[in-house]
Order: sequence, then C-alpha cells, then structure tokens
Amino acid sequence: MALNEETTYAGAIRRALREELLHDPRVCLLGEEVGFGAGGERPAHGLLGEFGPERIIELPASGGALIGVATGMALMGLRPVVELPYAALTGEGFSQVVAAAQLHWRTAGAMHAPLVIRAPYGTHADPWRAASPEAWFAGVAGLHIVVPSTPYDALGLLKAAIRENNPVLFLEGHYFYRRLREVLTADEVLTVLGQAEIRRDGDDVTVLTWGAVVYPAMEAAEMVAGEGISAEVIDLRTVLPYDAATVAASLARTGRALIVHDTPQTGGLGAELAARIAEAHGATMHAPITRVAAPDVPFPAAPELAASYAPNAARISDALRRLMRT
Amino acid sequence: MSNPPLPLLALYQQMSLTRALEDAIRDLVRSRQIVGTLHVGRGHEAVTTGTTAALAPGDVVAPGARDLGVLLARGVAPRQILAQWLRRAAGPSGGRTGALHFGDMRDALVIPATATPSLAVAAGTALATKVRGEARVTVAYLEDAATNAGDFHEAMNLAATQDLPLICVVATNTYVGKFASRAYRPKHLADRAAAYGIPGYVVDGGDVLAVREAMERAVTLARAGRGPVLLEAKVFRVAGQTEADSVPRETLDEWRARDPIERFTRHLRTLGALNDTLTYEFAASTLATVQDALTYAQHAPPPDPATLTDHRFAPDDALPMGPPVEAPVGMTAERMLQWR
Repeated sequence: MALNEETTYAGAIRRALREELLHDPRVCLLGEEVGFGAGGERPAHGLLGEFGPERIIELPASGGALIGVATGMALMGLRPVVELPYAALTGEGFSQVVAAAQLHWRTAGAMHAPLVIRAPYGTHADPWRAASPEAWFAGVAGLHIVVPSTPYDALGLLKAAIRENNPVLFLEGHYFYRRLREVLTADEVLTVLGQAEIRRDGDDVTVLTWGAVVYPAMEAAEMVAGEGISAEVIDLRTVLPYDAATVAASLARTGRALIVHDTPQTGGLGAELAARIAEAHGATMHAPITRVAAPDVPFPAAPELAASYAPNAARISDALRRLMRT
Repeated sequence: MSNPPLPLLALYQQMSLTRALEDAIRDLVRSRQIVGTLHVGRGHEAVTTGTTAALAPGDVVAPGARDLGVLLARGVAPRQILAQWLRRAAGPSGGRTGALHFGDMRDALVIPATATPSLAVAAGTALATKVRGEARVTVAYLEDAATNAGDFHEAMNLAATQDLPLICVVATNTYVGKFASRAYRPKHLADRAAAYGIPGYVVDGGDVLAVREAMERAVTLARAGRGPVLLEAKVFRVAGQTEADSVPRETLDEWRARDPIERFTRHLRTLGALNDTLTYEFAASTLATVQDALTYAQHAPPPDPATLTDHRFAPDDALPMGPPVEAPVGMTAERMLQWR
C-alpha cells in the first residue's frame, strides 16, 4: 500500500486482517464465502488467494455453529476471526457467545477463548439484516464489544481485538464500508481496547456516543458552538467494558451528560451509562442525564422512516440546548 | 497390582470405577452435601468406556453431563471430579461451576461442557486439527434429545461439509418409563446421519465390546479424513432426567438383565477371565480410590468469597491455549492409560 493513500473503512479492515494473518500464524478467518464473496465489497475479499484455505476457511452460514467452531479452534490454540454476514446473526449464536465469554471465569482462569466476531451492524434496507446488537450482549461478562467509527479505528481496534485474549464482538458499520475514507499511516496501528477517544473538546456538556451516530453528534456540537455551547464529544469505541475514567474526567468538568445511540432507548446501553454516571457523579451534575436514542421500534426500511429513526444532528442539538437551559 | 491388567479386565475396572464414583456423587446429592442435580449416567458405562477405549491419548473429547466415564478414561483424577462436585477451591473450576462442567485442553483434552450442546465447539477442535494436519479425532457425546436442537443440525452439517474428523456419539435411553415421550420420529437417531451425507451406526450401548468395535470403525474413518460419523448407542438408563426422578420398582429386574456391568461380568466369567478373587480385589481397589477422593474432597476448603470477581477477563500474558505444541500429537507415554 502506498504511503498517504486514502483507505476506505472496508480497506482498513482488510489491512488489519492481512497484517494480523502475517503477524501470527495462529490467526485464521472463518465465514460464509469469506475471502472471495460478494464482488470485492466484503472486507476480507482477496485474502483467500494470499493465505490459502487453511487460514481463510469457508464454512456454511450458520451463526451459532460458526461461533461455536471458533471457540473450539481457540481452545486448540488458534486465534479465529469469524465473519458474520450481518450482526443480526449474533442472535443465532447467542449462547455460544455467552459460553465463550464465560469460559475464563468458569475455569478459574485455566482457559480462555481468543476469538473475534466481526459483523456489519446498523440500519439496512433488508429488515432481517438491520440490527445493532450491542445492547443484547451488554450483560455478558467476559465479552468486549467494539464499534469503530473511523477507518483508522477500524484498523487499530481490529488488530488489537485479534491480539486480545478474550472474545470480542466487533461491530462494523456496513454503511461506512465504502463511504468513509481516510489517509492512514503506513506504520503499524494498534489501538488499545477499552479506551475512548475525545473527538471534540468542550467544557459545558459531555456527549457520549459510538459508531455511526458519532457523525451527527459532531455536527450537532458544531451547530450549538455558534450559540455559545461548548460540547465535548466522546466516542467510546469500546462500549463493553467502557472507558469510565475518560468519561469521569470529562463529567468532572462539564457536569452535564448527553448519551446518544442509534438503538432503541429501552434497555439500550445508554441506560447503563446513565445509571453509572448517576451513581458516580449524581450529586455534582448540573442537569439531568439525558438520552437521545432511537424509538422503541425496529429499524425501518423506507428512507422517510429511517430519517426519523437514528438520532440526527437536529435532535441532538435540541437536546444539547435543553440541557444547557436546565 | 504389580502387573498391568489385561485389556478386558481394564474395561471392567473402568466401568466399575465410573459406577462407584457416580454412586458416591449420588450419595452426596442425597445427603445434601452437594446442592444440585445429578444427571444420572448409570447404564452409560459401556458407552463411555467402550468409546474411549478406541481413542488415542491425543484425541479430543467433549463429554456431556452423564459422561463421567469419559473423564476418568482421559485420566482426570477422581479427586478432581469430587472436588468439582463439592465446589471446592481445589476443584478444576474452583467452585465456579459444578457437575462435570469443566475441562482440560492441555493434557486430557476435555472440552468443558456448557449449557449449549458442545457439538459446534467439538467441530471447531476437529477443524483446528484438520487445518494443522494433525491426526487427532474429536468425539462429542450427546444424549438423544440434544439431536433435536438447532445446534446439532448446524454443527453436523458444517462438520460434514468440511469432512471433519468428528465422531458424534449419541446415547439414546431406551428406558422411558413414566417419562415416555415422543420427542422425535425416527426409530434410530443414527438415521439422521443420512441428512448430512455421513455414515450413521447403531450399536448396543450395553455391550462394551460392541461399543468399542463400532467406535474403532468410526475412528478409523474419521482419522483417515473420511469425515464425521454419527454413532448411536442404545442404553438402558434406569432413571429419569436427573437423580431427583424416581424409577418404578418393577423395572429393576429388567435393569439387572441389561445392566452393562452385569452383562460384562457374566461375559468375563464365561471366558474364565474373572473369578471371585479378582472381583473382590477389584472392588476393594475401586472402593479405596473412591474413598480417597471422597476424603480429599470433603476436607478440601471451599472457595474464598473474595475471589468471586477474579478472572473476569483473561490477561494479555495468559498462557496460550491448546495442547503443548512441542508434544507429538497425543502420544506421550504418561497419557497412555495402563490398560491400553
């Protein structure tokens, strides 16, 4: 790859996979048509030719079996990366994810299952594909959930996830695959899991978000900046376990929290974040902890409906203004 | 004993120890020293003993809740097993899980059972050995009802498409008693193999020699790269789902006629391989082993409550998983059981 070449989000994922396949012979990829399917759109496209069928392993698309198989491979000393066609399929493998995540604790530290489940998530025109499952897994002890919002993070976080000794659910914004581009360094990028990134500094209010809605959150912060509201935008990047230290440091300055996610409000990760913030900072907050989330309905297909689903800059900026008035 | 026992007698000893240890566990459950339920394996001894007798030490096993005999055959110590059942700190899970929910992926190569049928995980270990070019086979133990779950279909289909060295042993309980139900339509669950394009065999799960022979055939196919095998063993388990379920008294006579240990005992006596002296010698040795494990586990300390949240995440410097790479595939002398 040439220096200073613009890389797409999908390209960053491909680079991460390729670098880790080269770095560690124990790394392998599993999935349906992994490495050669879907006309070059899929991030792992082309890796089969380079690494061969012992490393890039095509398997039937059975969500539960794929994750169980990855656990078995991990038990035998490999470091499998499972590619699911879409994140809703994590539901098929729910108990396998739970079993893999609990393995280390249940064996009193004797075993662990280093595996990564990559899955495109978010809004999708196909209703059975649209899902953002991070909240489904929020109570699963032993699991990491990573949601990169930029090509740079997709690269660094996926490489770190593959080196992680615990199961990682790696949610890729499929909407980003070809739309997001970024000039990436040719140097190795390893982004530590569990660390948030402050996307925008601010003093009045802390916006906590991740994944696709980082962009409308940034847009909203710019909108209200002209009105004298200084919003700090924190991209959690790893939502489980999340970076409580960075959140605490920001809230100590701002005393106001707005949580933004593109999944339904009820039972969303925002509820857990709000409860934690209330317990740790409740006495010093200047305003009620507020959420902007999707309504409690599934993802809609029509663009007109979809526009009202995920939080947009208008809704987020309105919430920021309300927070500053209280 | 000074001399290694004959293979047939070793099978007898293995079955007897399995029964005696499970009886000890049953007594601990009944006297409420163990809080929990025992998924009875009484009647499965010929299956666990016969199948493991056809394996090499480097093969991988995924036993289920009734497969105590598989753990013993892989060299898991009775002390470890009772410490696990009694939830002691020294047990393999340190009191974090009970029953047979533990494993060992470095030495005995036992996949820890989970609430989910472990068949897909077993397919994963088989896939790992296949891509690394190792000669291991993996054996997953299921009971009949588990073949109705979606996991079974997904894993069998996947294993078949990849020609994985995986043997799925299904123990079908032919005693249904008051728990009679029709949870599936086929007369033989081995017929389900046809759906995956793989061989399916039925064997009398009460006949340890028949089980061993059938398993040797399955292992030969799987090790030769011919893909997975479904082996159905018909067992007669005089118990319900768990120890808590009672059994009608009138079935006990039928049980004695079909008991795998009684049957094998009659066979060995006919051959002249077993006599009263040997029987007493073996019984005393088995009793001593169980008593030692019981004493050890009952006196072992419980886990420290302060350790509850330890091991939530594996550290970066955790020992790599898998069998030691420097070892030849599964063939270390220490791992060879004395009766092989």
